[in-house]
Amino acid sequence: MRKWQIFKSVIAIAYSLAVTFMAGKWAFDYAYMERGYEAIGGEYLFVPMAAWVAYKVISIFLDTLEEEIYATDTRRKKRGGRGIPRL
Amino acid sequence: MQGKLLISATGTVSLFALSIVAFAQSLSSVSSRMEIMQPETVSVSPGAVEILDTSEPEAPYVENIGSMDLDTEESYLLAKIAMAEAEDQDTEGKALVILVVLNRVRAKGFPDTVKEVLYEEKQFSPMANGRFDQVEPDEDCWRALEMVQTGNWDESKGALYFESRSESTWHEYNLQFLFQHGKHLFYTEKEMAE
Repeated sequence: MRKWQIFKSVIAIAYSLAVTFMAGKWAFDYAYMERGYEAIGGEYLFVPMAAWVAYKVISIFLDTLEEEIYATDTRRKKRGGRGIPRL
Repeated sequence: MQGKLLISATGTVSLFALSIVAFAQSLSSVSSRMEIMQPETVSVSPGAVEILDTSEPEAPYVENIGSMDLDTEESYLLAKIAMAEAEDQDTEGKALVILVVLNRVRAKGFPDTVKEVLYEEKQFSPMANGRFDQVEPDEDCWRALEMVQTGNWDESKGALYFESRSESTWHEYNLQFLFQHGKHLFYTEKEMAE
């Protein structure tokens, strides 16, 4: 269970960082192109928002995956099978 | 439960794919911007150099700028490029952008009209990214143009190039650095500086 939690956190952080970096790069370049010069603007607000959305999306997915694996395990056990090891 | 898993998996993959597309788009726009600022290399044969050497020496750049007769359209285009390239700069910064265009009009190796210089392929990034069409010159741009035209203000030192971002090292290696004004770095061609 502890291993799974660590794995989940690592995946969630890596995914969030990757998405934030790519989306942030696009936002900064787009803002520069629109504005014509470098400045601090709305794109800086976009970065934490993108990070939050990415983290939420991957967390929902991992939680659902965890629930699904747990449910499968429980169903198998109820049928009398050995089931898969619990997370 | 499996439906929820499918939806969340689709959302995760879609978000990742979307960010990859955005990232790829930003990379391609950056590379095109770098290309825009780099003039094409022209190879000159030895014979051609001889012909160039026998031509009349060019008059100092200061002499011609003020005497340039600009029509309404050219004035508007100059004010507009000043706005597109140097919106965040002071009046002198805008005037320097105008002067670079005017220096090019007079210089060899560049077109002979303001319009042709501005619309020359791969030269001014606002032309390529559409910013030029979006902006309208403000009062400061007209003041900068007036400074150049009627006040004969010219601190450009004959600059033919400028860059506002230093991601690319093309200018640094291929041109002669002249000076910096605000965020813009001004350059001329190496042989002209010597």
